[in-house]
Amino acid sequence: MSRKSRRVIDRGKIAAPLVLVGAGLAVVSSFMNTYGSGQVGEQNGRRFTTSLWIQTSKYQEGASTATYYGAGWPVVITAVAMVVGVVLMARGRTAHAGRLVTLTAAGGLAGVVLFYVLQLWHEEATINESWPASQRYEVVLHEGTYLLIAAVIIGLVGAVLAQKREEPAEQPEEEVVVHQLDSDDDTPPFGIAIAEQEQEAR
Amino acid sequence: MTTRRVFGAVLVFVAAGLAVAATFLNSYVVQAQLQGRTLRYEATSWVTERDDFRGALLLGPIEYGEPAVGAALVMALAAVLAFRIPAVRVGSLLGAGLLAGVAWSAVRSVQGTVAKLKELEAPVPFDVEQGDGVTMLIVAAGVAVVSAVLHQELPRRVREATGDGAVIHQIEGDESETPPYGFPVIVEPIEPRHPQSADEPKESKSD
Repeated sequence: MSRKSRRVIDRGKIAAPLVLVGAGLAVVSSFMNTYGSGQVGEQNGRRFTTSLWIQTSKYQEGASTATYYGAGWPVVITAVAMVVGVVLMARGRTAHAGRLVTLTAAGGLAGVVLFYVLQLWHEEATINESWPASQRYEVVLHEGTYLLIAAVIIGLVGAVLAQKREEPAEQPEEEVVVHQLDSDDDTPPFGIAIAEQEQEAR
Repeated sequence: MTTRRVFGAVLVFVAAGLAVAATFLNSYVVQAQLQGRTLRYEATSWVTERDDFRGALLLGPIEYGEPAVGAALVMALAAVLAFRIPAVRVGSLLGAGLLAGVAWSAVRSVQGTVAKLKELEAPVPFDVEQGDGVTMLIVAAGVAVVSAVLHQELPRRVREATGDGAVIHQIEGDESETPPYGFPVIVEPIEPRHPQSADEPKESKSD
């Protein structure tokens, strides 16, 4: 086996674990806080801590409210779809469909997270526009958001690597690929020797 | 096969165009009847188009414009570049996935806004509608995923995937293949077991 094809197989072997790690990190991050928001300098007042599912505040005595961008389910479902894609990739017959599912799901997760991060970015700017200059509103990203971004990058790299595995097989399409079979029952150019032995016996 | 891929590439373009167009349509509309007047809030994904509440509801645009245009760019670039570099084809699927994620998030945000307005428990009932922009974005995402799958090399890959081990090629027009028991010419026909011409059987009968 050539060095090139071995490298291709290694790439394929790395791809699936990367996608799984990405999906796992995404699910883990959905249990973490993604950002804190509130007025700058106000510590125990109206400060909100938000996860992908709920928003909590000390001000509201532990009561939780729904978030504007409830990204919880989209993140979890795209992560599950990535895992399904990897499972499909592991089987020969469904490998191709698995690659498509993995890449679409990884792209979907990236879309959800990209939207989420941009919304946070805009939220800070939009609220500061409406507030008086003496008060500043701030959005502080928490570990959940960083983990989500890491999950997206790892998942995308894995999903793209899983696709590349197919590419080298496509390029030599026009050439004939000759495989040496291990079995010994090939016909020699001038027939099998048994025919001669029969003649000698007669 | 090539036709299908070209069709896929064209549809990827259409989906990208739809996605960009969707960002300029209303993403959601909030409406309330107050003292016989109809107050409306309208916003595209970029700016607030109309706000009769004058900021009282703290509403803002659902800003899916940038990610949607980003996804559309990825799709369009992949569709163009794939004619030169086939490997870039995966980009259209990646872009379609991105767009689907953005569309889903946009829908969730509209639902989130509905939930938030209910929490306000205002005496006046608010009517929140999903705008044409979000609907069009969902359509664009659907078209994008279907067309991106068409854009990929589906049947050939399936064949390659099924033949997990060796790929067998039938070489056409090659007369030099060895028959399973060798060339019949080598064995001198003393007793022709398999008569091939019409004359030979007559001879064997006369013997």
